[in-house]
Amino acid sequence: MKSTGFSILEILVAVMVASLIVVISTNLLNSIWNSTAYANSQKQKIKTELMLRILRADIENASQKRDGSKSIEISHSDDVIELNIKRPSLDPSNSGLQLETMHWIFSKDTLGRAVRRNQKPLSIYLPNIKPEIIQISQSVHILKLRGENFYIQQVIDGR
Amino acid sequence: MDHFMPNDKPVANAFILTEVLVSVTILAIILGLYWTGFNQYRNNHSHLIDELVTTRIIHDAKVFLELDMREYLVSEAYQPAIAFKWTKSGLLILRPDRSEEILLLP
Repeated sequence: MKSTGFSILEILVAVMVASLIVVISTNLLNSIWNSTAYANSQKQKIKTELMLRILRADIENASQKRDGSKSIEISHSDDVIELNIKRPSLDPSNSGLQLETMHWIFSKDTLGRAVRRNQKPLSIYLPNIKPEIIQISQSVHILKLRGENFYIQQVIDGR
Repeated sequence: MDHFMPNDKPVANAFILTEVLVSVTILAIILGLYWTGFNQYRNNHSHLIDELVTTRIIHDAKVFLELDMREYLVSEAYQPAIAFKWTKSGLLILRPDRSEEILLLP
C-alpha cells in the first residue's frame, strides 16, 4: 500500500522555508516602516528649515523704527509665540511699495505665516512642539522649537 | 477507458519550483529598486538639510560673535549636524560632512 502522507523530511523543509519567509517578511516590513518614518521626519525637518529661512528673510528686510531697530513685535503666551514683522512689499494694485505686516505664529502644533487676510497662509503641521522665546539683548531673541525628535533654535535679530 | 491517477503527476513539483524561483527573483528586483531609490532620496534630503542647517547656524553664529555671546553657540540645537572650532583667527564652522570649513572673523 502506497503512503499518501508527507515524510518528516518534507515537513522539515516546508517548516524551514515557511520560517525563512516569515523572518524575511518581518524584516522587510520593519525596514519599510522605519524608512517611511525616517522619510517623514526628514520632510518635517526640511519644511521647518525652509520656514525659518523665510522668517530670516522677513526679519532681514523688516522696516526700521525710529530708534533704528527693526519693526518686529513679539508676543507670547504659554504655548503660542507670535511675531508681527513689518516689511516693504510690492503692492499689486499700483505696483508701488507698501508696508505689510507678516504675521508669524508658533504654536504647539503649527508653524505659520500669514501675509494678507485674503491670502492663504503658509503653514506646516508640527505635532507636539514646544515653542519658546528668550531675550538675550535689547533687540535680539532666540526662538527655540523643541519637537519629539528635533530641537532647533533661530536667532531673531531685531537690531 | 483511462482513469485519473492522483500519483501520476511527477512534473508538478518542478513547475512549482520554477514559479517560486521566478517570484523570488521578481521580488528581489523590486526590493533592489526600492532600496536604490530610497537611498538616493535619503542622500538628497540629507544634503539639503545639511545646507539649510549650515545656513541657519552661520546666521546665528554671526549674531553671537557680534554680540560677544559665544556661550550661546554651545547649544544642543546646533549639534550634531555641525561642529565649531575656535582658532586664533576666529571661528571655524565645520560642515556635517567635514568637506568645507567656513571662517568667521570675531
